[in-house]
Amino acid sequence: MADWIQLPKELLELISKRLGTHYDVIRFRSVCSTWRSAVTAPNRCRNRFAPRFPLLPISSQFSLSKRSVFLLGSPTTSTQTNASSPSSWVIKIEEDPMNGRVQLLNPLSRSRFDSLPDNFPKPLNLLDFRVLELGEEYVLHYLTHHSVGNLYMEKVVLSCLDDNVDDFIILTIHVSGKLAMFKSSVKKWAIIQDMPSPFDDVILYKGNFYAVDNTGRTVVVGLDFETNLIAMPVFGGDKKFLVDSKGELLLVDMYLSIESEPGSSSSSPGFGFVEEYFENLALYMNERTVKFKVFKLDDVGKQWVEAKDLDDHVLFLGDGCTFSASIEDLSVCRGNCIIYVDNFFYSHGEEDGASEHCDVGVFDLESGSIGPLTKFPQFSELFWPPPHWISSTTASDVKSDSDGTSIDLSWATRSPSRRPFYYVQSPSNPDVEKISYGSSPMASPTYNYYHHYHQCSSFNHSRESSTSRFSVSGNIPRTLSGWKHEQIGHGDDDNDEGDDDGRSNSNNVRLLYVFCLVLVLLVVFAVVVLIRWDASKRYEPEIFVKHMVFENLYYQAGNDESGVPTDMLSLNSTVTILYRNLAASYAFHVTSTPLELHHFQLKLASGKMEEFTQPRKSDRIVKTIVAGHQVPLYGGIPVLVDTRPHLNRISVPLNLTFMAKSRTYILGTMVKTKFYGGFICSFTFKGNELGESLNLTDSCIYQ
Amino acid sequence: MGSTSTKIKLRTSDQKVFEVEKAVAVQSQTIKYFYENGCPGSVIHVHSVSGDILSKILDYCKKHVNSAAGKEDISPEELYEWDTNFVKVDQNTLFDLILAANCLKIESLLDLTCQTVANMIKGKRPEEIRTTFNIKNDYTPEAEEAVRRENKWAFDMLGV
Repeated sequence: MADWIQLPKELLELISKRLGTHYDVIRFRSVCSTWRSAVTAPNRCRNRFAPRFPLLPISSQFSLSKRSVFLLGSPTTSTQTNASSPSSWVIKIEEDPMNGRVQLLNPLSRSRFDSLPDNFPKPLNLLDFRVLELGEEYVLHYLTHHSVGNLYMEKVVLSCLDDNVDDFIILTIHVSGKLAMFKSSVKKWAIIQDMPSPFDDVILYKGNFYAVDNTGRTVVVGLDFETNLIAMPVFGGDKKFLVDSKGELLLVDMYLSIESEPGSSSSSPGFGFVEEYFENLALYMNERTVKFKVFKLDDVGKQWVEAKDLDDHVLFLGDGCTFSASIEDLSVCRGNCIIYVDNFFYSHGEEDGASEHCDVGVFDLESGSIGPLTKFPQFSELFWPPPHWISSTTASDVKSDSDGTSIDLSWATRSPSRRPFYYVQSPSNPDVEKISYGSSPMASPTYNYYHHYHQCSSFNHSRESSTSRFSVSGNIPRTLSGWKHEQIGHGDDDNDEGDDDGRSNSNNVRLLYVFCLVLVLLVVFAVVVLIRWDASKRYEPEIFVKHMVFENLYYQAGNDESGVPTDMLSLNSTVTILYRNLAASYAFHVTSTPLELHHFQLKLASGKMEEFTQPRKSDRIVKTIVAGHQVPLYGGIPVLVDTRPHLNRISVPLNLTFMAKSRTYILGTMVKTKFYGGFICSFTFKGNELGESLNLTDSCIYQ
Repeated sequence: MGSTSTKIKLRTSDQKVFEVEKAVAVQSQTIKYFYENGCPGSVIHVHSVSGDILSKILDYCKKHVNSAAGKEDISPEELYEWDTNFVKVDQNTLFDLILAANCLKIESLLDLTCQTVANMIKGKRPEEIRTTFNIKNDYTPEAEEAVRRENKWAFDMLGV
């Protein structure tokens, strides 16, 4: 019998170098002490960074962190696995190099999971699972926010030179659509000028940087900022992705179409006013993914060739990285699918998941069918909830765990608002059973709970149901209606049990009367308030954007804050808005988000509208100065570059956006009514109109 | 030179003698060294390699020499396929192949065999690796604790 322990040290090293991912090396070292001593701990650059890494300032404005996507596999083989539980789990983690704490993130988006199920083992012992590293992503964090917004917010790829943590190169897509490269040796961003059309995606493939633009034109980016064409454009879709699938470079082309879909938040008529500004915009421009095409690279012909299948692989298109996995590794029965994030409309940059709208969809390359993740149970189970074996294996293992912090089985008692409804099922009460089972057709109640939980906090959490705000019960968490049913069912159950006790006396009866009286009073009062509130909703204020005057406009050369040379624009303008309060009995207090002037996605100027209080039945003209001072353009307005000496001949399409909030209080502060009005004014500014008044009355869309 | 017709004699650990074309034999840096620095015509002793393993290794070298010299019409994909089948052997043979490739200094074969072992390890749990390769867990409790620390994720979650 071969004695693998006796393998010479140099051979063990050779083998460990071929393992690929650093987690495999860690596990290789965990097999026995001989192997452990033969192989040094994995080097720092390719895995968790040395403590100083994320603190390393990149031109003093950014820090960088690394996240890795893993496939955790069930410790039991697939035949032993409980059929109801998937045997693979796809997760993304970010390790804090300072304290070794680990954050769990949505594998496809940049959002964090706010919370884990209470019985989730922390720490998670990786020795119990198969671990495959599927991909990695880097995120640039902005240490300072400034007025222009984030310059580098696209996907970031990093290459380490000589496995040395101090020597690395970052490639990303700049806000101008051009490629931006950062070399740690120079500590400076450089914009690569080659750009027939804006870039869509970048990837590190076989040690080289590849970038694809909007048209599918693909280049290799050299460290000397040279780009070499490796594939000609493929016209067709709207957004291109590069994916490394089993060592092969693939191009995925995403097709979008604009649909006017009735938004979910405006579907309940009573509370139909829109709450969030960006939901507003999302409704206005509702882009949906309709299909994908996949291409393989033909090196010789320098072109992309369409591929009809993915060799039983599944592609994942996330916000920060793309990766692929085989159906054997995923333990699913059907491959040739693309799992993608459908958040074509950007959320507002916030890191925490609560504000992000993120839908995951699945496209089946064979049948051409497309749909939300929930329609594909074999895939949705890969993400959330965590499979049973994650906690169960550690639960059996925990006895030997010396630090004893691994597991907390007291989830039923610790957070009452999430108490599982099923655990008090009283068999003597048929009604209760009906309620419980009626609302949970699934076989396993625990699973059902997880399932709802998944829907609300992992992927769909942006659309908080507006009805929940008006619900009586204060401790209902933001969840879907199914969960609320269960809560109510649970409450009934408690009451019934109280009645069953049959120990009611006169004291209780009196209390009951008082309680009923208070309740009736409260209801009457609530009705009055509601009537009043409803009446107040009728007099919505009218807001008109009247006109806009550009006082001056300067175009010059300069450097942005990270030292990149660029062209710059300064402008001064005044926007005139007419505000009309039609209400007969109350005044409105009016505030507004900053008025922003955009050229496509490039913000040129902004200005804050003064707050004011508008008395009943009156009008007001509000003038707001919208200005931008030395805004870097990075060639983002080509027409300016072309006609530099003749500014009076330019013609630039612009968008003015803002949202006004009108607030009023009725009955003291008991009833509060708010009106939101989002405005998008699209118009074209011509150079010869400087100083003239542009009429915007007809070019504004009111939401 | 006529080097292709020159033969080199090799004697294995179990006293089998192989007569091999020079071009094939010098794929092994060790044999090449002995050939260039020894007496011409003498038999080179390959102490650590058995006849079975050496014959397999010579098959491998022949295939690669022929394909490189264009004697055999074989595409890179086909050669890759051939290599894949070549290492589909039982563990003992694979173990001997690695040792032999290391000792004879045949770079490409060493690559191939090490990669094969690495692929057997990838993604597996240490316990599975131990079973696969029949290895005993010989850690002291302290070392075991260190291993555990390396292999865990301490999740940091906002209020649950």
